[in-house]
Amino acid sequence: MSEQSLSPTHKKPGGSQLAEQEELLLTAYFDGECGFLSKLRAHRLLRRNAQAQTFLEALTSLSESSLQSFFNDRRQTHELAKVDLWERVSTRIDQEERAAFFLGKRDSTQASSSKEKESFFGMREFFWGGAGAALSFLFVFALSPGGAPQVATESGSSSQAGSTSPVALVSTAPQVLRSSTRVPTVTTVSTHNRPVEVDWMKSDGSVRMIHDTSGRTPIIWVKRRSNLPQISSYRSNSSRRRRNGVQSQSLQQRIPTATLVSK
Amino acid sequence: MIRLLSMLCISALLVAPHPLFAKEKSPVCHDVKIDVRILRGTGAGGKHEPLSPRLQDLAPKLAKLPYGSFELVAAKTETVPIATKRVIPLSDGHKLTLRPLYVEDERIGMWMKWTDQKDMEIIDTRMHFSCDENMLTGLEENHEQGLLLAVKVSPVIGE
Repeated sequence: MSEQSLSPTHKKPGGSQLAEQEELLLTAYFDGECGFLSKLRAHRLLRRNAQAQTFLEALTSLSESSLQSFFNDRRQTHELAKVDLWERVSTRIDQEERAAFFLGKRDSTQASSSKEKESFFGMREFFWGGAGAALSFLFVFALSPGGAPQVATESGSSSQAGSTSPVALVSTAPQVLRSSTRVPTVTTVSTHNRPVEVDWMKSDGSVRMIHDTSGRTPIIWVKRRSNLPQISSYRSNSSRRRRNGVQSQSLQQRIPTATLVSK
Repeated sequence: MIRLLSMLCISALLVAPHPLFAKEKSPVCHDVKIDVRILRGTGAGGKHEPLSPRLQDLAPKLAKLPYGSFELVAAKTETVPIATKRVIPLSDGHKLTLRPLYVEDERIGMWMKWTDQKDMEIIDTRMHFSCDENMLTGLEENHEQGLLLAVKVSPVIGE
């Protein structure tokens, strides 16, 4: 759309023309890129100003003529398609390669700089809008009364009063005799709702997890160790109890009991 | 465009702190109800016998175990405050010591220790699992029988 085709026909009686803002508004209205308020303004302008109506009619006729020429061009290209263009394309590629060999590669920085300018101009509005949105979000976040739900939490270890932590208990007894399975922290097992999380797990037997195919919580299965290491571990347990001031059975009394467990 | 965004931000600023749009807080929970059931499994390798009605909810889990029949030895229910340790005596001198750590979004964090009559630590663990879910722990006493502990924790919603 050229200004030469439009501007001479839009002089009002008395010599006044449409303002540039008004022309832009009518162009956006014709292209369907108006918001609700802009549409109202365009309608009001068309009702009050005859020149605006003339301008809009000129836009319509120009659009139709452009479409007509487009379709004519398409007809021509359709005819051109019957011509073998690959020979022309390959010739042109050879020419470009020879030119690049002798003259160097084409410089495309000018095009990119113009694109950058356009993008910068467009980005500026977006930046200020985003900054305003971020600022209002900060205000909302600072003023909102929300917070974590009131629940009692305990993040400390689960030790009993006066007893050592689980880590210390494992370290005092020999690793082989203790036969405790110390599972690495935060082992997850899938369930149908949310996974079961295990922070840690200790046992005087051997632990096995039996998973459920239906996705529910697994079964923790502990097997007693009825062989010698268990008796030795009792010895370490009894020494620990002595340290804690608890009376313990003698080892001779323990052995018959251990044999009686496995019938 | 900038004016429109600014208007939207100001309106969000005015509307958001309104109590109508405030996020609904989850109910406060200070106590949990703990259901403990002790089962004895016998008849290893034998045919599976029908379960009693009180154990039907555990049927899928018990089917995984190698015992043919299961008998409910004891059942206890206790209300325990959050972050409070409680010792629950079980049958045959066994003890269950537990401490519910938190309840949040139907999720329970709990420390649990099961010891037998000789103070052997059968299991000592800290876990996080969903509410109203049966946590099953078993002890294979010998090849013929085993002892199982089913623990279910439910939050007690306070007013």
